[in-house]
Amino acid sequence: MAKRGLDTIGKIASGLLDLFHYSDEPLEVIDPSKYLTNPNIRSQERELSYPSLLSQYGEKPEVVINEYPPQSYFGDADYKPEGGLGEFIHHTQDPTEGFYDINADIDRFFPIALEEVKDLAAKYKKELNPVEINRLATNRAMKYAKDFKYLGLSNRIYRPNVYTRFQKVIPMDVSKRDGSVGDLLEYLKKAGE
Amino acid sequence: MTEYEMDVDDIGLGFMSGYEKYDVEVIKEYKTDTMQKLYRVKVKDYTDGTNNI
Repeated sequence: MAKRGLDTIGKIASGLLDLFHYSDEPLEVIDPSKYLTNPNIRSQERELSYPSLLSQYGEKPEVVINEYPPQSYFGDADYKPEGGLGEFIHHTQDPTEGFYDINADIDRFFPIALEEVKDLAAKYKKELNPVEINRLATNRAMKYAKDFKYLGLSNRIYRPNVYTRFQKVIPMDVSKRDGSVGDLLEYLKKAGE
Repeated sequence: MTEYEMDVDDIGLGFMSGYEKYDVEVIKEYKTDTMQKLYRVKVKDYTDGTNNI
């Protein structure tokens, strides 16, 4: 318990978050663009990245909006891994302030995105239902966080121990959940090629 | 004000619940077949300027 306290003080003092990414095999690079190509990702998750046609059906040129920024997911030191996550753990560190807290939304990305999406729909005379409007606004708000050079997103209220990253991440080290190094030597050999 | 229900993930819920012109109530939480957590929410949407919160 005392060690946990010291660990916490250490984290606050350094301003760095320890972040962990889980996968079925060791990865040299954690690549956000790979997230939605995972065959295990289906249904609602994939809908995040669906493009929406703004122009009328059959009209040329087509105007398509597709702004979802691919992201990879990380848990912090307090994250309890869900079932189904891989046994390889990739560790990295990032400054806490690099993540955009979507609950606070201090730059007001969501309200701005919402107005812009509604304006676009009106411009192209496209009737979007509230679900589509909010999905597109959320995607655009995430894109703004990326454009404004945030590392990724944090969600303090609804997913407090999970962070996303927009850019590729090269892990500092890789281990197995059971504490063994497993294929780590092979991983390091590959990474050095 | 308009009112509607929708399914949303934690990121959508995070953004929407922080917006002062939305009153978002979580009706239930559930997991998809790939164990992603989603939320069924009721949204009171005041963006039309009527009955502002």
